[in-house]
Amino acid sequence: MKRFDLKYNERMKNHSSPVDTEQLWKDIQKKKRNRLGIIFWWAGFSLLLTTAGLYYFLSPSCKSDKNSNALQQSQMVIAESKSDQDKSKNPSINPDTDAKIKSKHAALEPNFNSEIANEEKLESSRNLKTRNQIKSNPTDIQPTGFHETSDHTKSANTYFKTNSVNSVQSLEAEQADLEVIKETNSNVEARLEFVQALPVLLKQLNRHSILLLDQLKTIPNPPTKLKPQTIEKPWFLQMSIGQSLVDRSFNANSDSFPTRNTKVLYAFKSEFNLSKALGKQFEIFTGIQYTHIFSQNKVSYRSSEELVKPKGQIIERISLDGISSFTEEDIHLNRVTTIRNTSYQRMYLLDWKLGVNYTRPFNSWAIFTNASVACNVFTKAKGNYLTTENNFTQIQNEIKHQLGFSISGGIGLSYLLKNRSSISFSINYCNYLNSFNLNPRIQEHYKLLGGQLSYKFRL
Amino acid sequence: MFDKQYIVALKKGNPSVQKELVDFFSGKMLSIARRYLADDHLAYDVLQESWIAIFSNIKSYKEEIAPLEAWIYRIVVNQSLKELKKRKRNIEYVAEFAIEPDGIAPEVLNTLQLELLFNCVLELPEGCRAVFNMYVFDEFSHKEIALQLGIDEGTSRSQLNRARKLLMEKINSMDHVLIKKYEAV
Repeated sequence: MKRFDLKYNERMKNHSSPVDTEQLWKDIQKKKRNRLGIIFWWAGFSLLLTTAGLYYFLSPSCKSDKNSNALQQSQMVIAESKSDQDKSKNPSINPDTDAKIKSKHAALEPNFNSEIANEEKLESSRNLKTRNQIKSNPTDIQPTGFHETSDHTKSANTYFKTNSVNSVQSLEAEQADLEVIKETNSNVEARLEFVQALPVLLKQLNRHSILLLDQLKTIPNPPTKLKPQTIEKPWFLQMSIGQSLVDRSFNANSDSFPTRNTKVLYAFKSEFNLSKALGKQFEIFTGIQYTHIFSQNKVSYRSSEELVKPKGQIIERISLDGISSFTEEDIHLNRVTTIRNTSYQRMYLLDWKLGVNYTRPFNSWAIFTNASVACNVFTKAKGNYLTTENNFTQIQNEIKHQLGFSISGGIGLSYLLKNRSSISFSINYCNYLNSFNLNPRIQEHYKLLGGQLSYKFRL
Repeated sequence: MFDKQYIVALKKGNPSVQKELVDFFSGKMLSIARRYLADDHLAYDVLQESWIAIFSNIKSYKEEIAPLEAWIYRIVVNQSLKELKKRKRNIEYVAEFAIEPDGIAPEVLNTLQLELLFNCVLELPEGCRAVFNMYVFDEFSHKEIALQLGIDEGTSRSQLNRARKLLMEKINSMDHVLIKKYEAV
């Protein structure tokens, strides 16, 4: 395999596909440009978006009438302050530059008078300077022998003709300087204008903020339905119905009481529980459980005993009243058992339960488990029992009123409904610890296993 | 071949040097891209992308680590793999038991035209073609292949085996055809 791979690699090493490199180069350049274009457009777009965002968030709102009035007022105040400034005699912005300007003009034109200088100054300073300011330094002007021209270019041309080249160059340079000075002067004046207007603007800003606060006060607060958060421990009521199978067990002595040896009975349960949440997942509950146990007894009873020969011949037969007359050594003893379906039994239990429940929710679903202890507050049994070994039956009423205890537990799944209620299904096991038989010789125990459906709602 | 001055000029972004490089390497680079992708248009796109990547990353290239051509070829391979990963959904890496392919004398490869051998690779299924290319031509280990393609090392091995088997079958059949043609002549 290695040789195959190596050979293949060796052969393919020099494989080259034909490609139009000129076209490829053009395509690469085009792709590069496109990418740059995309980057440029993205940058531009993001810049635009940022600017728009900043403008939106930082610009003052002028929608309300009050605000617009206030704005108009502030504009009026600014205008007034401006006109006041024009009227008043402000000190020169930059006396040195003023003097320079004058001297330059004087250097260019011998007839340069203060009037022309003033005009230029007025034009450049846009009504912020007065003529008196410029008049204040007339002595700086030095006449140089130039005559009769108000036009600078004209005078410059004349100068070119009459004077040396050096002096012309210096004049040109001076003229350029003059322009620069004029420009800087106007910039400084503009700044000064802003600085002078600043206190008025601040005053207006203050006024606006007060108006804004007033407006904010007029906005009604939305009604709040939120309550302060506390851990809720609500009460619940649970109603359940269910069905169970009852495992009835007897001790060894039950043979002596042949009418009650049915193994499995059926129970119908209904339950009302009142519970209170201890936290988010635990709750304690108490309630009443009613259980109806019933069965159609398959009565089996040992009706007689026979002593038989090994081949089956009966030697002796005796009837039983519960005690055998034969000894255990009689190996040929035959016990006769009769089974009848004619009797029945009903039992009614009322239990008072106390327990805890643990719930683990998953969205709308929850699994839960519970454990409880209960005591029988009422037990009654009624049945049609066989009283003798004959076919004769007799209805007996028994009241099993002894206090008994039981333990129970269950696990289930519940679904949370919209209206703070839930339905659940659980599997429960209950073990009655006491004996349900008044005869102390007979230990009659019940164990219940079954399912139940519940509906639980918040009180 | 590419001396220091040349690389310095390249790093400065001299267009004439760049153009020279494109003229020199593009054929081989296109071949690599085609081997992986088996689609001429896609391979051409990958070639362009590779050149843009090369020119924009040339400053990070260090000649003491690897020769320029190796660096360039690795960029094409990486770009091709990137393209393959984009279309990963369509690739099927069928895991197979390693079946030893029928032997073939490597000398047979000498008898076949280069373009025929190249086409044999192109005709391989996409999954095993990528593994074969990476392992045989670009000298990736199975571990690296598994990492790059997001597959198991075992799958990589079985794919390689499958590729070899398919290639040998193709070459064998081609050989027969050639023999028949020869006999006919």
